[in-house]
Amino acid sequence: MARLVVLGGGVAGHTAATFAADWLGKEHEVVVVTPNAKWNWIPSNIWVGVGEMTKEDVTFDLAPVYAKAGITYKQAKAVSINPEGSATSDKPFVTVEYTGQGKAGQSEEVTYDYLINATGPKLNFGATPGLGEGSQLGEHTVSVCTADHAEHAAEELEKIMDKMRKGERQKILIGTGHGMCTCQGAAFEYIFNVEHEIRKAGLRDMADIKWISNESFMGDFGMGGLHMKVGGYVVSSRIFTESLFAERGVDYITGAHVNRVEKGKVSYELLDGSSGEESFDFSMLIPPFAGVGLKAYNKAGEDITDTVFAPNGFMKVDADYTPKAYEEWKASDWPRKYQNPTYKNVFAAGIAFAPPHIISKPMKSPNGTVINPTPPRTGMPSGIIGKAVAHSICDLIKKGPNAHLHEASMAEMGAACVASAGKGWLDGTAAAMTVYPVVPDFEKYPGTGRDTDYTFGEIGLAGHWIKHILHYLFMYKAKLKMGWTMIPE
Amino acid sequence: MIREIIQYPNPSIRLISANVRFFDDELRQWITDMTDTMKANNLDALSAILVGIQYNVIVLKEGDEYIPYINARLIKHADKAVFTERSLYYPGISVEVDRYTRVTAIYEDAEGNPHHRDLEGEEARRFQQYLDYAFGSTFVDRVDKEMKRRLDGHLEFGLVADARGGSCPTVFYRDYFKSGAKILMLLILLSFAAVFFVSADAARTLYTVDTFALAAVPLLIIGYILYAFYESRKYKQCTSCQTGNIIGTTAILLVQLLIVAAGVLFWVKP
Repeated sequence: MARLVVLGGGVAGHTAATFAADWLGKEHEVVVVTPNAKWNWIPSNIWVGVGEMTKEDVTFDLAPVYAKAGITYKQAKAVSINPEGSATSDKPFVTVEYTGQGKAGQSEEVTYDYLINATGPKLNFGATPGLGEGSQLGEHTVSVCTADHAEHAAEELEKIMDKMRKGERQKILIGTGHGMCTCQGAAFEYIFNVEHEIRKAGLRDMADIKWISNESFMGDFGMGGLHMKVGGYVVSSRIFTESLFAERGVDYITGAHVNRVEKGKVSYELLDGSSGEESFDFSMLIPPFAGVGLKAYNKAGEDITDTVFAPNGFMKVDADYTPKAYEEWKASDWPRKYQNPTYKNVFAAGIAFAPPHIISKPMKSPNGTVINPTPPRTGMPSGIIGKAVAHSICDLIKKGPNAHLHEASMAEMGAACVASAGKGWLDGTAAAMTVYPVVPDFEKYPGTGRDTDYTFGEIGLAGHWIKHILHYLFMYKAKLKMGWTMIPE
Repeated sequence: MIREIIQYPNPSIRLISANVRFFDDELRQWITDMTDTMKANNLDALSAILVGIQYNVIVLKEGDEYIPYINARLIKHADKAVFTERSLYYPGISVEVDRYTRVTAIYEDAEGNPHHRDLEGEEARRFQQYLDYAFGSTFVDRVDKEMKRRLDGHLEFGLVADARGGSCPTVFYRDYFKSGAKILMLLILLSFAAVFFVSADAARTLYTVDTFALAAVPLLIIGYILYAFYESRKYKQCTSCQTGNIIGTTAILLVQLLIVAAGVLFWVKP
């Protein structure tokens, strides 16, 4: 009997664990270690953040689902990995610290035969002074990164809407809170959902809404832009986004690194080296992501974190991490198997693996500040990678150590994403976008590195319906209800 | 080398220009070609895509000099004004466009060194217009819906003609299969009335003809499906939901076929 331990229960971890449990059956054990009691469909947090959905709508209890799937569930936070075992045993293990199940605070060593690190990101609010403390949200801005944060954001939004009702003009600032953020899409969705709600409430003329982002141009979305189809016409995402902002009366700042947040005020540096300030009454700024800070120790108990993890805290996998200039980037730098090069029974999936470099063009201000989006790893690639890794491990367990590993390179993978710009069955809008491949392959597609036929978007009401249907579909899938294996990632 | 300037309805104008990654001889050659083309045509600005080079390179004439701007982005903008613009891509058309009168651009020079520059008035406008080309757009994307509609009517092939990867056909060949199936089913329907007026012998012949016609309809539907999927792959750019339409049309045809077939069996059969 082999034991597979999955750290993290997000899109990648949950997909990997549930498929592995299904494929391995009763002879082998699958353990999930996640500090959360509930599973959260993160994309719908946007709607919680404007009060259109409740926290309960986007989460469910993990315990009964894992019980049904035959997965051992430990509500705990992974602290460290000992891939060589300890002085007394050769069996590798992870040290976890319980956060629930009546054992909060207790530590345990969980041995494993195979390990999937799918811990996701640490929301690194501490990277920008005033944005928050370490991984904790600060008092000046709100966030929609977790269901709890989103609920808090909805309350704060309601407060300023009350002020608007009383005739007080309010200033709203939404975007990225650091020069090296990813997830511009979430902020983009939030700004237009907020705008939509305020307009619906008849208060639009009482609000000044502004966008601040680390993208070098509007519509970059951390992927370098794409074509959009709008009402039968084709435009590039830059012009589309600029028009959408103009149409909705939202001003914007691009190429910005937010370097300080104070009460009602952010300071930022721009790509041309100049700096500026922006005041606000309500602000949602996405924090940058970092690894969760797992430690690694060898048999002798010495710290080998540097061997297993990249400096940003994400796990090293089969990527080419040699530092390279922009012109030397290759699609083949990106990992295919997500296997740790030193410890072959350790894999990483989703946001937890260290990407070899970014996707957008690297940019620096004259002062040397890096201001560019870091690679987006949305639900779809995370799910696909999680499933591929689970497949590889199942084969290793069932067919032996020489089994062929499954591959899922982000340079050969497309990603679809639907960005909501307002919720409503009749007046909602959303932009549906597909990008292929996620990581540009400059050798296969000279120039932009992308296949223009499959890098495409469309905006309209139908997009909103798709987004809403996806919410139910993925909640259904994650609850492992009948036919869940048939639903794609 | 003087290059040819692409004009409507060449679809290449919609391509998003790639970032320049190599500051090499090829890039310098492009800049020389663009400068030559500008001199030959007496132009004061040019985007690489306008001469068929899909890279984010703009050359502006400043005084007597031709200055290249590589991988440009606009970082700051302020104050809008209405400008009358002409486009090399749409000769003979001028439209009024809202542009910022003050912008800050960041860009790289021919050696790849980063710079930034503040621009005002006409210079700012020109920079915005030529940067739009590099992002796969022309001024038609900057005008309001009404103006867009008028341009669509004015242009020989409409605005969609310059859409990504060429135009969409107004007639899909798959529709001939659909019409064929529908005409056959209509003829069968007509035979329902005919049974009142013909002799018993003729009614038997009619039934035989109907059965053959009935057998032909599914063949046409299969032909429709196969050709439709072939066509939807050929014109991927036309609409993102052709598959849905094909499935829907097939379902409707099948339901119609069932009704007609039931009619033949219970009504026309002697």
